[in-house]
Amino acid sequence: MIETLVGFAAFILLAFLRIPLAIAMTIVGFLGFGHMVNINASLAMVGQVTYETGLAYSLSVIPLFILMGNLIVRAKLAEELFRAAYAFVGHWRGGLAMSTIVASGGFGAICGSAIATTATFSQIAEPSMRKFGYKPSLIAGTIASGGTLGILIPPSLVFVIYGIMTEESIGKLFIAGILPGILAIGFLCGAIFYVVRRDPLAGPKGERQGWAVRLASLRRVWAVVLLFVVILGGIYAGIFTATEGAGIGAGGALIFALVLGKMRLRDLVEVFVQSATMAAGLFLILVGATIFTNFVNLTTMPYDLVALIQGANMAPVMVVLMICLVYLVLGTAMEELSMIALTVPLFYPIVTDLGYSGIWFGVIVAVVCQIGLTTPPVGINIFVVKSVMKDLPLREAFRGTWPFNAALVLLLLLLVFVPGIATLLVENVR
Amino acid sequence: MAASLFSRLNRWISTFFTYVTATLLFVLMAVTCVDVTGRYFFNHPLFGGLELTEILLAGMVFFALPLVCAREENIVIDLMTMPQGKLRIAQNVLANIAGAVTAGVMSQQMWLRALRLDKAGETTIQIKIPLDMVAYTISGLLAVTAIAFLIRAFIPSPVPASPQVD
Repeated sequence: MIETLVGFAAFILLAFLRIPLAIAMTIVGFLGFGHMVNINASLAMVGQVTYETGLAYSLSVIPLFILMGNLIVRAKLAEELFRAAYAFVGHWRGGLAMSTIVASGGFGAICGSAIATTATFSQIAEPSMRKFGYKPSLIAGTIASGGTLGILIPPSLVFVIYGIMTEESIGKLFIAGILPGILAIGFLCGAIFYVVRRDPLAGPKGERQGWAVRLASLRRVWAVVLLFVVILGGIYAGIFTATEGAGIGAGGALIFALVLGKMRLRDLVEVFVQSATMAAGLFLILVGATIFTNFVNLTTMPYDLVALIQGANMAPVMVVLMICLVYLVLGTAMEELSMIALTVPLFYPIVTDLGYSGIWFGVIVAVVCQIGLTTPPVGINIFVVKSVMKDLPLREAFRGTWPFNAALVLLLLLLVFVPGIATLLVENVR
Repeated sequence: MAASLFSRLNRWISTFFTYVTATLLFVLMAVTCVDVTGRYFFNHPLFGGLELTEILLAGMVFFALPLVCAREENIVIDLMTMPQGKLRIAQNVLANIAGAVTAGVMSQQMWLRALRLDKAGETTIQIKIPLDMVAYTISGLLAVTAIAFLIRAFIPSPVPASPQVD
């Protein structure tokens, strides 16, 4: 037990010295493993993990989904989604903000990256909301929190990494995210409703659109629906695996980007390289986390934790709530995917040991990641929004996310007490 | 003169890695698409598709790693970033040297693995790609990554690290 605690402390120290997280995990895992066995065995272990991670077929899902997301951003589909959502709810009070949430959710259905979604809607939704006199903190909160919907709504990188770490089916995780994802859209819109009820000037009404406009706008989002139905439908029906779905999705996104987005070939190379370097960075994280986990598994930590929980005689739901709390705290400072890679190997056995479904826990992890992306001091989505709204003070931006995070915490509690919301659809997957 | 030669070399090398990485990812995507459509529409999967995917993936990841360092895209915790000055420089040197040593050790271990695979003469099952060549290549690319880290330790990139937005 004590070795692991020293290991975690050393990792935190190195991370705060601004050593890349993957490198910090590798160094601590390597030294810890060397301490428990010997240095030669540890060197061999590092070589083994690096080789096997690099050549793992199942991991090709990572660059392909990243590529799909980055290409879809160029296909200019987000504008169409926003216009369609606006046609339906824009004339309500706070309607533009709700349109942003709904469109972000729709975009999340074809793009698994929260940062890409946030960056896209910062460009599209911010000018419209500003034009109608929306309060800047509401604008920032809406775009930043809406951008996190893609984490819960499949396809999602968080589910991919979680599935890889736990060997749960990525396809089932995707399906499990659908209902909670739709609920999350509703909860975030509820947060807007609450804000504009208290302060009607925060989100004035937009223009009402006729049914002709509404139906016309719906027809324009066919590309999004097509891509989502092909990928998720294919996975749901068992026609292809998540990896194959990612390949098909990236291929489809490439065609849309070239045809609908009129993307130039010169930009194409940059999109591919950007996706590849992002994936390679994640690979380093996975290698580091595996090395770190190999060390932790040599210590008595996993057993000690289980014994501690059994000894304390806690209700399972209390344990889950405590884990959620740990994640909410970690999520304020850590990058979300690294947080999963580091902690899931420790928490997953505990949670499944208590009789919970591993798929359900994946959904819980996705919701805490959503919250972590917009909480200070390191809420990456807020920084993405701020790169567009340069004159907005950081404090104001973070204040704007509180109603949304409160809504997401409510959603988290709902999922903890009603696990069926996540597992209902999965039971019918082939 | 020396500086301009260095920067020209630098640009040439990073252009090379950029194009190779982009191409590998494109081929990886194409192989997956062809494999799936071949299997479901023509009842004929791509011969050796699985192994090809694995090798392409490894190639893409390890060709991209030097670029990750060069573009300073490594994921870090940005809570205690020192302001400009000596401490900031020390922080940068420490982080990149830690990265260089790690990549160097990985490269050396991969070389040892390549020697073993070479001796055993192991290949992939269907298309008989020699696995030692794969391991030698990975070892070489990790060595390039270590060098990229070393360069970054002493020549920090002019732009401060920030989340990739566009």
